[in-house]
Amino acid sequence: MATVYLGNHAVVEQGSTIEGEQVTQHVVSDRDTLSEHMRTLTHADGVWPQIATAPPVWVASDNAELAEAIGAHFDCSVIDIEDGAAHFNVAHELHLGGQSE
Amino acid sequence: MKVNTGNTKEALALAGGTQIGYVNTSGAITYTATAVTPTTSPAWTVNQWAGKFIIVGAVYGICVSNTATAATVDQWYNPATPTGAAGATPAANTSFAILGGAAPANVMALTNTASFAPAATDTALSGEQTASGLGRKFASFTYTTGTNSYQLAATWTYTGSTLVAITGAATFDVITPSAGVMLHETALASAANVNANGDQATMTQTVTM
Repeated sequence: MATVYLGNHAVVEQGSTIEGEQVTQHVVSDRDTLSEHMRTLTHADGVWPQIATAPPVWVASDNAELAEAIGAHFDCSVIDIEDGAAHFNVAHELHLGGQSE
Repeated sequence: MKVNTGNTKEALALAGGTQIGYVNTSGAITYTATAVTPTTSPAWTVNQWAGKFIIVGAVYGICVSNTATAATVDQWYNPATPTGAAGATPAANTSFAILGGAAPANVMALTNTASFAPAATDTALSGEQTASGLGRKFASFTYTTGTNSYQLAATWTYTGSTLVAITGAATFDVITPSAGVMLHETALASAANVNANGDQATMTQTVTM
């Protein structure tokens, strides 16, 4: 299973905006094609339109091909997976602490 | 909607249930691609392990059902690649453990039942699709920091050549069709049609915690 992290600075949940520089973790199946991965994330019926009102500001993944495809689609930077995971951990800790950036 | 079996599964996943688990470290044990059979009957209660992890060496299975003497799994999984190819069948007599709690419901299934109407008492997905690329799929899992919800989503690529009107979906804990514990069942507001080889359908389910 590949893991994708996306810098999500326009989070929406049930129609309400969530403040802060949040991070989305997206874990995908090994059995899907690249086309299926991309459609699942980017299509109008897919994930991203449900959770954000703007494109991600960066993307990271341990699947380099998937990271490049997502970065090209959203026209956002591709960063190292370690940096993506670190951003996720920081954002999650801030959330647990009841704070936002 | 979360069906009744889904409520039970959620409670078990968080609290373990009345029987925590089981360990077998001795005696003869027979393994197949989908079954565990201790030679000395463990005298289990029928289906007490349904939906739980069975750990055997470097692989695990998700119990679909059990009798008093044997447990059936949907397949063996390699923990490093749980959505990849099935793991190897364990060697005979390898010790096993059955964990308390519950396996996650991260598999999505589709139906073409006309006027599909989920009910809390449903335990199976009527009209579940099993062919032409519309069978069960491991869903992607998405969580965003700062939120109280997660998403399960999948894209199916149709390989048939006649119209299929997809009317609903459900989530299960096993990849085997028509089996496993169902967590959620949802009717689509309008049918999603696939007609020709290569058509794709995408579905996203948001679960609020």
